[in-house]
Amino acid sequence: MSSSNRFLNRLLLVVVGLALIGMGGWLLVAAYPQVLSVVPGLPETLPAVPETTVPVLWIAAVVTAVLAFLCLPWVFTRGRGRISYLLQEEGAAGSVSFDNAVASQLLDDALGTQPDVISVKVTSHRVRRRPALAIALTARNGSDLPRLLSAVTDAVEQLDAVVEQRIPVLLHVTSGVRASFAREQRVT
Amino acid sequence: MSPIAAPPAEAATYRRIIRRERHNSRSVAVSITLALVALGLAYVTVELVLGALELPALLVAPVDAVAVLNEPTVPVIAGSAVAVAIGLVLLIIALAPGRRARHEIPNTRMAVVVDDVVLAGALGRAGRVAASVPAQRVRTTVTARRALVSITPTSGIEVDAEATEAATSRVAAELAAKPPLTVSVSIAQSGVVGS
Repeated sequence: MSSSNRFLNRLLLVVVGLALIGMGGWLLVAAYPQVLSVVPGLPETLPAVPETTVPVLWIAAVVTAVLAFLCLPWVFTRGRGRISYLLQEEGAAGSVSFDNAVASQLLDDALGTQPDVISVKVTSHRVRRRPALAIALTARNGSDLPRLLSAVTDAVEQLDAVVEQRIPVLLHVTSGVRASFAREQRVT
Repeated sequence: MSPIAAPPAEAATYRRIIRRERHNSRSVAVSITLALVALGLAYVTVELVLGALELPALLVAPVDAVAVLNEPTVPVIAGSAVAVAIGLVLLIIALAPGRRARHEIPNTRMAVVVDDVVLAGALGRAGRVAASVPAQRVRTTVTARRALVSITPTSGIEVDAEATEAATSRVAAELAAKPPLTVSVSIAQSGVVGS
């Protein structure tokens, strides 16, 4: 539930992909100029890349340095948007703030006794400028999903009562590596 | 306890969360690609600066590189073919739908996204109980729009195909996964001995 801009992610991959195809394609055509004669109206050979001069080298160096520098912040800002609190409000009577741990412990307690639950991980995120809760639940193999979902719904409603607000919640049910090694519960 | 009112614009938030959960973010691909691009550009910058200062090159001087651009050598041709292939892979990653093997389960209180493996487990469990066979003899596969429950019966004991189908369909209907799943049950012709 990160805030990474997915359209820009796609756009960057397209740009880098097209740049690689363009450069590789240019070299391939330079090596095999025969392919140019397939399409009528094209020149017989590619225009020659001009000899380098010192000012051109400096300009090119600045361009590549700036591009390299622009890449780095992108790499380090993926997966942002996680926050440590569940709720933070300023009211007339003062401010109220709930830490993520409140939700984490409450849901752990409520779901820990469920036979199908292997682990529960609760994190808070910022979605559309408001806090939202993500519950990642690892379920046992072949669990009773309808029963499990209603147990989580009950637990989340308990949380609503505690914080006196409905925070958007995402429940993601996975079956992790631990689940695939764990024995299936035979007695239900 | 009266239910607490939903905050404004909750539906839009949930739509966004579910859409993003069911699709790949491509952040890993972008991070790896851009880290490599940054390294490559940094190296090119160093060579260009060395060339401009007329100092000896690290590997290839810009003058020689331009000569190769005009008349590529065999290793360069092989390298450019690889570059075109990598470029195509990046385009495919960028433009493919990038759907993850997950389904949405409608819920009154929250957004629920379930891995297809877990759905398969839930349907397989229903089939196993109705067919009364041990878990190892039920194999369930869930794809975007279908679920197939395959059961190998115990020799000499007939499996009630209708009851099994009804049980799995009931669980599927209760879950009402989105996109909807068509459940089918297939029972093997020959059974096996033992539990």
